[in-house]
Amino acid sequence: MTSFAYMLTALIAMLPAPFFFKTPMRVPFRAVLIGFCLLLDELFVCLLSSPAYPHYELLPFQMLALSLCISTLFLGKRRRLFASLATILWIWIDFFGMLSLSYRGVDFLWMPFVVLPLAFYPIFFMHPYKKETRFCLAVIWAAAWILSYAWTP
Amino acid sequence: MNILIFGIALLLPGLFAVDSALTLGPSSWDISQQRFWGTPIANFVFWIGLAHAGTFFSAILLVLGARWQHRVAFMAELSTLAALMVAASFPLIHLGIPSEFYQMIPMGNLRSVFVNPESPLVWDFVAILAYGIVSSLYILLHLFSLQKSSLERFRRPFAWILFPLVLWVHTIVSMDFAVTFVPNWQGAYFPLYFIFGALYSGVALVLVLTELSGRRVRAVEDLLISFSWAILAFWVWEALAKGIWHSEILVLGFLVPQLLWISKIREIQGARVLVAISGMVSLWWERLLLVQPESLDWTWVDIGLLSFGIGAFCVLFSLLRRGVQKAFPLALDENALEELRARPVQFARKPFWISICFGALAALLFAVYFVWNVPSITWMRLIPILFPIAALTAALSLSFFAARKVWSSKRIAWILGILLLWGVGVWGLVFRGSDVSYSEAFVTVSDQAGKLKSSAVDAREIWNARCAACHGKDGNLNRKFVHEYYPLPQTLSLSRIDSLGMDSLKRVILDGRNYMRPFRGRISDKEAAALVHYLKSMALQKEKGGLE
Repeated sequence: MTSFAYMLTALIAMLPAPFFFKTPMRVPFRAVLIGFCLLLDELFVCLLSSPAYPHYELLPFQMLALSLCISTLFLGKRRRLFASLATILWIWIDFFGMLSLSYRGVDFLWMPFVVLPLAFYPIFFMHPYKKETRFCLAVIWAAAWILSYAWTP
Repeated sequence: MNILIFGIALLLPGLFAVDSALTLGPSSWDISQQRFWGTPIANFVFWIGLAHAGTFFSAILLVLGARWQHRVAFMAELSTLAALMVAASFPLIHLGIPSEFYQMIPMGNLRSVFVNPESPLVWDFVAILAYGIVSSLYILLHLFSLQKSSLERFRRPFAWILFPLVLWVHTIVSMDFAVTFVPNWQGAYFPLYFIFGALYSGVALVLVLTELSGRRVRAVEDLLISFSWAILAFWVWEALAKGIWHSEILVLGFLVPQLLWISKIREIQGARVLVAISGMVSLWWERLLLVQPESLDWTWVDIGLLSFGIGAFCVLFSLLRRGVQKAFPLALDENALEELRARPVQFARKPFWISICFGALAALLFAVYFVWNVPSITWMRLIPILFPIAALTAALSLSFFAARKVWSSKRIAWILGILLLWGVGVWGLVFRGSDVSYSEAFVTVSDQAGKLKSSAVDAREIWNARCAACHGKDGNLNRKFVHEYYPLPQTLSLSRIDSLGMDSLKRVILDGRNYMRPFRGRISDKEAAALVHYLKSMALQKEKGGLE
């Protein structure tokens, strides 16, 4: 998978994020919306990537985690709780995904686990609804995405 | 009452199947020689998934602030305990020797067998044990908080410990599959897939139980539809990434639940129950196909084990429900719960953080102990086992703080003393191990051994019977089996055999070494010597290119 295609996956993941929690919606409708986006992510990865990419199996779910993280920037309330849960979900997906891949000989990438916990600083120690906080979080999540790229020669 | 009778009707024939399974071992159920896992493991994964319902409804929704969670919380918590007990019985059946289950406790080298903490099976044992204890404490806290309102402030901190633990448990169960050599089982996305599958089946179970108790909670129906969409995404990904597709699972697990969008159907109680059962059946079938993808050649024991699971769950659930109804009548009274929920509740912040620190310290000590003793351990692979240890310690510490609110110091000291004595006793029993009477347990083998001479042919027979499971028929390791339990042993080579010498190899066979268990008492000195010669002949043959 080229780094350009990897960048496109980030864009595709981020596009629907503002709409996840924008309007009040019944739980099943929201689930359908998120589920549908995940299905599109899968289709996109299937078309754009190849099974040779080490994190191929993981990529749609990393995209989902990125979507959910970005979507918390648009939440009207309880942003701290959901931003931290979304970040933990991302760490969870990456850690256990890479751990299982490591048993197949794939290198374990440490950098996302150094960068992602940094997100807890703006989440808990900065004002949750200020633009500066949103900017900091966006930078940290973007950095984590870039560093999650499993480069293959 | 109906659930109890239904349960007994299924449990009784199921017990015969369990008896057969324990007596005859894995040969009694349909098992693939490529995968070694059959219906007991499929049932285990299914029931451990159902055991997530209680924590999801009680702890996770409490933390997330769902207003209706108290309406189903107790029902779900009881189902968790019952499902957890049923789930725990299946790995014991699968082991074949249930009395040896304690070998999975990661206790270092205390019993001369260093349990591998990098194995997902050991993670599994620790995670499920921790989950069982913590969820039992949580339900007790919930029940006692109905009588003593001062305990209510501990519920939310407890829920924060249980929330990640429940997700961790199913993640670990998924790792049993994800880190193996079996291609169909390898999936880096399995942790999330298994969690959503577990929550889906758990929600379906709670819907059925709520309906059977004559109540209706619309939010649970909404959740069922939501999880059906989540699980669809994983099934589609399995199809795209691995080409695995089962249309019957899609119909039962995704299409049927979509009927709940139609309000006319949704208003019919029977339809709601059937939709939920359809979801559970699809998840059970999916797990069975995951464990055993080849066409199934079922024995009556396979069906009996299914019957045992459902029967045991129904019986345990009804008994637990009756017990709670008698001892805590408020627990199942929806109006009373509604009033109790309106009370302002504080968060026991200080005890929570102190308990978290205790948990972190316990996990750190465990990690240091293992890494200190075996520096070659990949410490990253210890992480899955560390969190359950931390969560268990934190939950015990928080329970202690909660107990101090309602009991006198003297009473707590008594309880702690009794628990300590019990703990020391259990530890002593584990340390001692179970008796193995070779003359009884290996009577058939010793009879055969008497007839055997140490010819090459006989040595080969002993090798195939005793050694091939780990070392492979050709001496080149049964990687699938060994890798899941232990670090790989040495590969067969003539130079290594020559460097060790025949006598020392014979001693290894008889007295054991590192991960290899001793065979003294099961084979004679003469047979051990014959095995060493056979080993050397295989190495010679390999050297000449006869063995690959």
